[in-house]
Amino acid sequence: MRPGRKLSAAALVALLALSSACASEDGGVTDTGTLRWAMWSGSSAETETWKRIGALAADSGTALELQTTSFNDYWTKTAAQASTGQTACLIGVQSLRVPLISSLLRPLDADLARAGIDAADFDPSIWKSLRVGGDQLAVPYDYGPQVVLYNATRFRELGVPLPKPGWTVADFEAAAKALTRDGRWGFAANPVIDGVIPWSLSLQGVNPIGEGGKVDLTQPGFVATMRWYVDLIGKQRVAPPVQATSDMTPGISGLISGSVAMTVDGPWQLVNVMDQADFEVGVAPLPAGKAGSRSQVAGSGFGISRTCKDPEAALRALAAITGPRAAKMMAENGRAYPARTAQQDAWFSPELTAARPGLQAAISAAVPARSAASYSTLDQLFRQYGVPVMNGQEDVSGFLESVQQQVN
Amino acid sequence: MSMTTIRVPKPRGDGRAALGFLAPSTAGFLLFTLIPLAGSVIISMFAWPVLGNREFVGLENFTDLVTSPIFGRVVLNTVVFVVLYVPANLVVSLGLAVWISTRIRWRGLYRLLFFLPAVTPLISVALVWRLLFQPGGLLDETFRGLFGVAAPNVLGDTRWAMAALIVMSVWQGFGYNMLVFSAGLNAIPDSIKEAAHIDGAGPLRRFWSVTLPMLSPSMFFAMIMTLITAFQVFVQPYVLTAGGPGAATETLVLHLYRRGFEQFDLGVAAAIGWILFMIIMTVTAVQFVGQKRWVHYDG
Amino acid sequence: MTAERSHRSWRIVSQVLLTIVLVMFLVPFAWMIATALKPPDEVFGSASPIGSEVRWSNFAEAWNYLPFAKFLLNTFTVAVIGTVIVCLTSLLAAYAFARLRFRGRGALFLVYLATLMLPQEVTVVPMFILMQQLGWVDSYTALVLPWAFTAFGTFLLRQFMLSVPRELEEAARIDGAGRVRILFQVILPVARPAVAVLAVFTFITYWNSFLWPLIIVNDQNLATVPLGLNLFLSQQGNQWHLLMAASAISMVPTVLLVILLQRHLVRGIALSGLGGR
Repeated sequence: MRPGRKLSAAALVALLALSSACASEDGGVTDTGTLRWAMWSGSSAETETWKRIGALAADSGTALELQTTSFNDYWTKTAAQASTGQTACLIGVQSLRVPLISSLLRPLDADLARAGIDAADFDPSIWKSLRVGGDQLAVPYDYGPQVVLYNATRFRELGVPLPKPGWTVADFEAAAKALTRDGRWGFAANPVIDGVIPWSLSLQGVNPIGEGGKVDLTQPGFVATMRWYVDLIGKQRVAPPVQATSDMTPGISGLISGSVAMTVDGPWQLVNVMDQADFEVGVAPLPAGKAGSRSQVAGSGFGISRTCKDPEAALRALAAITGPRAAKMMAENGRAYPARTAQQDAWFSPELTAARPGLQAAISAAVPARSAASYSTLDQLFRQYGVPVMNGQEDVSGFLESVQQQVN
Repeated sequence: MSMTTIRVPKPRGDGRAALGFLAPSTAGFLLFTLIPLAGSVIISMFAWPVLGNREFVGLENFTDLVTSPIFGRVVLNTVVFVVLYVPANLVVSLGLAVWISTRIRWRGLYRLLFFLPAVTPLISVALVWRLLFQPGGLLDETFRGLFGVAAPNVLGDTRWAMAALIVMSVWQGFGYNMLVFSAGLNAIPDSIKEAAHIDGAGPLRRFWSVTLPMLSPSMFFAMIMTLITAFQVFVQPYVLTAGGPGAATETLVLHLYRRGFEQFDLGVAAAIGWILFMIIMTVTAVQFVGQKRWVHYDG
Repeated sequence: MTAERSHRSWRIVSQVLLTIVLVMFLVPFAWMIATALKPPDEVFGSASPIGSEVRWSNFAEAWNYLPFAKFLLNTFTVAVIGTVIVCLTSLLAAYAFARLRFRGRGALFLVYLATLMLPQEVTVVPMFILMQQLGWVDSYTALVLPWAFTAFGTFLLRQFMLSVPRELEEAARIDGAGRVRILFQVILPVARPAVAVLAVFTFITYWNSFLWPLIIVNDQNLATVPLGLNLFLSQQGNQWHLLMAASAISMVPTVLLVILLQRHLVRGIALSGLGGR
């Protein structure tokens, strides 16, 4: 009987020890005084870059502990951590998704000058896109317009002229057609809202997301764009039928695997593509439609959480990880096209010099991307319910109406 | 099941020793099963966001769910999955178990290989199948090679996606039941088989009137467990189709995950959990009532 | 004579047919390995299992792309600790239910039984909130403990212990052995097959668990193997050759376990009534 009692006592002690071992709300600071820093990352290489950037903050006197998840999970995980009082001190944020977590972020306007951060050093469009309700919530590190990324090797193989600044939608359609053969396709048309908006801007001059973040998917211009986009698969047959997938960037996956020759995404993808693909990658602005060659600029930055226990240290760290040295480092690693204008040239490493005209043309023709509080929902609904529409099983206008109802 | 084996406890006894032996298990059981179970009833009656204030809403979470068209579709999807998956699983696992138990060499090896997917992480399995089903994947290329046309776009077509999910799930899931049936077959005394043989019964007849009844307890057990796990299907649609195309493969648990942990509406998620539990309990109860007709426990 | 011969040829036909079924059945695994060895741009668009080169380096690349060794270590830690706790607590509780007399035994056991079929999803939300309250979000503790006290293990081992003859114990008692010693020195050796089955299936369940880690782990450093595969999947650009290599790696431990224990598998299942999971 004695051993029995001993066991039960031991079990109780163990349970109590476990439950008391928890420090529930730490204000984003670890026991050793290190500030926690939350960021998304897609690979070890990317994480390594962030760690090196984090070391810059350590040089300035604030040690950072980096936590990463994939971009896809980052937004839900950040909310989950906030609910347990575990929000990190420094938080990565993408311009299109600022409204999602704006309640977690501390307005920075009063502190920027003290930290030596000057808005004039940054590209104005990305600087502005990190403002919500008149407050600057984050300092940008990178930005870029949506561009056409293409498999230049495939173009050459089939003798198709390479896209260059000034090309038109007719050129695009002809190229896509010529590139579609032997079970491979010209273009990847996926139900991803980020990828449709630039087409809508170029073809019709309409943005489905209005000035104040109001979503209007049923306006005639956007409906017409969607019809054209869907027809790339069903009528023109230059893009493969799409599938239901949890892949966040099916277009990039298709490009890397060689199954499609062109896709629309941001320059931040270029390095991943070059790293993973066995062909030469090219960059071109969106082809010009009725409304010209237009694109939208999105980017990312870092903010400080409202719950951070040591905002002064966080501010110093923020200045370091968004500072000129950090920007240069990110650019040289190819992780980001810097938001700091003075460091942008560092991005065009020898392999990327070919991308320069395409990217610069795209930047000059781009407008800041508009965000909406419901952007995440819109994105998810588009991906999930857009699949049968893209494949011609469901009607475009019915789809847009039903999504419209759910996002406003 | 075997409540009859519990003896009436006598007041005199080993109370203190029992306390010691039970403490670790029961403490954990209380903290991690009973308290959360009670908690989930309470949570399901709240609007419980992950950030911000929670608010008592009574049965609103349930009524909202029941009246929403998406949720109706989700329940229907789950039921369709269960209705097709469970019989397919049982037929395949029983068929293979019986086949292997005939005079086949290296039985252990066959069983082991057929069992492999059951112990492979589901996510790995779902990934391979996604690769197979993708345009330009093995299925598509085989179609092109054999018939000169592309295979149906399985994961992009609302008519095919559920079928793909079921095929993959059966491939992955029948291994356990196959082993359960193998064990059941091994337990049939040779004397009975021989008796039937001497009576001149043919193989089919022997299967129907000897093997099947003798296996019925295993079948009952396998059916209950398979039903329960089938209602809980999550990883397959999460990885293979993300619930799409449209809502074609959105199942109850996937919906629970989305509502609770992507949209952070924990009250609604708890309510979905309870609805799932009630469905499972009802179906299981019906099975237990119905078993008397076909399950033979006498040997 | 002819009957016997036809019987024999029938057996050969049956064996050949079964082998064909098996080979078709194994195609997804074969394709997994084949893809894992292909160059990235040859993953799609060909039904040929062999690419232009056989790239063993894909495995090394997959291993390094994400901290896969870390994921394996995490999963291993969680699965081993979980399995030990499940076996130990189940063993103790099962002994109490099978052998000790105390007030409320029937009622308590009934409560255990009633939750036997409780799906994890019913308690997943309160469990998440409980973890928040305890501050266990993002910890090994949260990965292990919540699912380490299931009624199942207790039920399984109790059923087995009931079939162990009491005489074995009586002899030890006369020698003056205490309860704990009896359990570990007399009952455990006899019950080893049942405990082994419980251990194997608990290990596999922990190893393959996906929903709970997905919910409770925010920090990549704590990710388990299935979660790591999901990370792999959701990051920029699907690299199917690496995904397949990683998938192949992920199944090694459980497959090894099953191969090692294959002799006991059918017997263990027969004796435990485990299945359908």
